[in-house]
Amino acid sequence: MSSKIIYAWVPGLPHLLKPELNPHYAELAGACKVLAEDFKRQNVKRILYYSTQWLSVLGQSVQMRPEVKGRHVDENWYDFASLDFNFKTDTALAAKLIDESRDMGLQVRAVDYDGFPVDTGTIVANRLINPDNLPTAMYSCCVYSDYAETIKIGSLAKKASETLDGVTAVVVVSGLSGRYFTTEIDWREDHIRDPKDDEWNKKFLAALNEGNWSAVKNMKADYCQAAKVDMGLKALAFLEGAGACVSGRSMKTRAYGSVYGTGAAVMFGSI
Amino acid sequence: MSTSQKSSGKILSGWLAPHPPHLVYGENPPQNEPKSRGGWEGLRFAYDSCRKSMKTLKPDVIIVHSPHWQTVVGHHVLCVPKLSGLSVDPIFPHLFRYHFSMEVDCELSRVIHDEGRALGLTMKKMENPEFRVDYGTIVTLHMMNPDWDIPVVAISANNSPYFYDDDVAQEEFLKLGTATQKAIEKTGRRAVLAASCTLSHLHFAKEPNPELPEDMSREHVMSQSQYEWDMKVIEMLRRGDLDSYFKCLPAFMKETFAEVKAGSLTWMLAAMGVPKIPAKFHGYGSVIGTGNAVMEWDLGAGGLK
Ligand SMILES: [Fe+2]
Repeated sequence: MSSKIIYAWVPGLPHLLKPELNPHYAELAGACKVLAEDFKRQNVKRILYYSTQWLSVLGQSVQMRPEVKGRHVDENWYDFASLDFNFKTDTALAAKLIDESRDMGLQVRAVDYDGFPVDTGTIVANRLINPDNLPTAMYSCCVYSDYAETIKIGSLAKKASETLDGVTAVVVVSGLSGRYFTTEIDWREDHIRDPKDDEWNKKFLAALNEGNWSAVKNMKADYCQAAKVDMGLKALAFLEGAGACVSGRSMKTRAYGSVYGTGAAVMFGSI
Repeated sequence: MSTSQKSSGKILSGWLAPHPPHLVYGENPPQNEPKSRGGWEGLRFAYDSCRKSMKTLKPDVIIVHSPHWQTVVGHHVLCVPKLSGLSVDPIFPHLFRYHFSMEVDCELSRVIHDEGRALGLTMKKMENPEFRVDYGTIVTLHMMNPDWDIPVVAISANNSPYFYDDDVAQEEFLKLGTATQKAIEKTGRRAVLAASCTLSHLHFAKEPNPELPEDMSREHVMSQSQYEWDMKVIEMLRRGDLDSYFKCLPAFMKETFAEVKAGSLTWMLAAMGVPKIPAKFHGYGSVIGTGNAVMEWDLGAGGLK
């Protein structure tokens, strides 16, 4: 048996499904599609999602329903985001995630309910990067797990994935700078709301591109505060725990742009 | 009912009507899939007087402002005549999987939308018939009127106070209240308002007894200081001392992460013209440590009877 993990970071806003609205959305969506091809080349067997839009409050949650089907209407973008979904859960991975979480002393819930509202981020990501409907697993983003605990959760995700044969893609679904527009905008004029956020995002992405993990560590707190980064960069914490942020590895930017004023990027872990 | 025939629109009463899904779970109504052995009776029974009041008043509409329909761009109103479906709480799916069906007063929704815009607010009408109504709206409406025989309007909570800062958008909630009041007047509705929110909102980080969520031996206030804050605020509301309430609101939000931050109570008080009448207290209870009160502003009676 041999196992391998590859890593990616994708944005989870439904605007990416409307590439005609803005070139940024088209570019980001296009990069996700290239990612799907990379997954195919790498012979990815399953995708493990950690989305900052799937929030849990009392401990952790893991999707455990073998088939998660339905139509999700986004609570903000309901005009254009009625999203059909059909996930095939890798129940072996889900069960391992639960076991490992318990071993780590975390309170964890197996989610297996008809009509459970899968978050927009995971659905959007899955539509773009998983055209062959590979089996998936989903781990929630617990509001009360801090950065350090999220690293531990990433590490248990690594451990769980490594018990399975073949390639697992660990995909975090998250934004960068979080300063969105609070009024209606013309889609064509979407841009990073604050130029300082844009600078910060670029600085962060540059360090990730170089695999300069000490620089990332040094800028993390300031970046989060200055650019109101999505969920305090827990997506990075998860990747770090899962083994993406070690010497010799990097996260390469495939596309960068704005979605309703926020920063969004598609990244792929170097292999 | 059409706008042309009306001139006597008014707000009959306003309710602080918290929405922990545990209350529906504890009651075991047929609409909710999970079943319990009870629990949180102190709070659940506090809603009895509200239910009676709805039967006596027979309002044309209940308007609810819910912190769990969080919107990024402005304030949204439900605007589909009939909405139904299964609402599964993403946080407590083991407690709340509710089959809802509600009639929406779209004419009033549209006028609230227009009045809000006239006051400079960003407003939006939610017209997607497949929309899944949030559990905050549903729990509050169920607890107030489990027969669902009164049309409703639901208003979203703009999340700027959470994302930017506590005081951001508080002015907007006041304007939204004014817009709501004007719309009620214009459409001639006899309306009841509901501020769907908890008071102190710091809570347990783990479920105290995952085997038995309704284990009341494990339910308690989160902390003495949080409890004291709630009592201080309830006292002010019971006295009708809204000046003191609004003065202490920033500290209350900061120290207890009070859910009133979402703007529901500010919206409701503004819609009622910031009535300095004593609010009637019906009950208080904790749910996973949060502080919840059911309170009533009876505008007809002019306050505490
Ligand atoms: Fe709530």
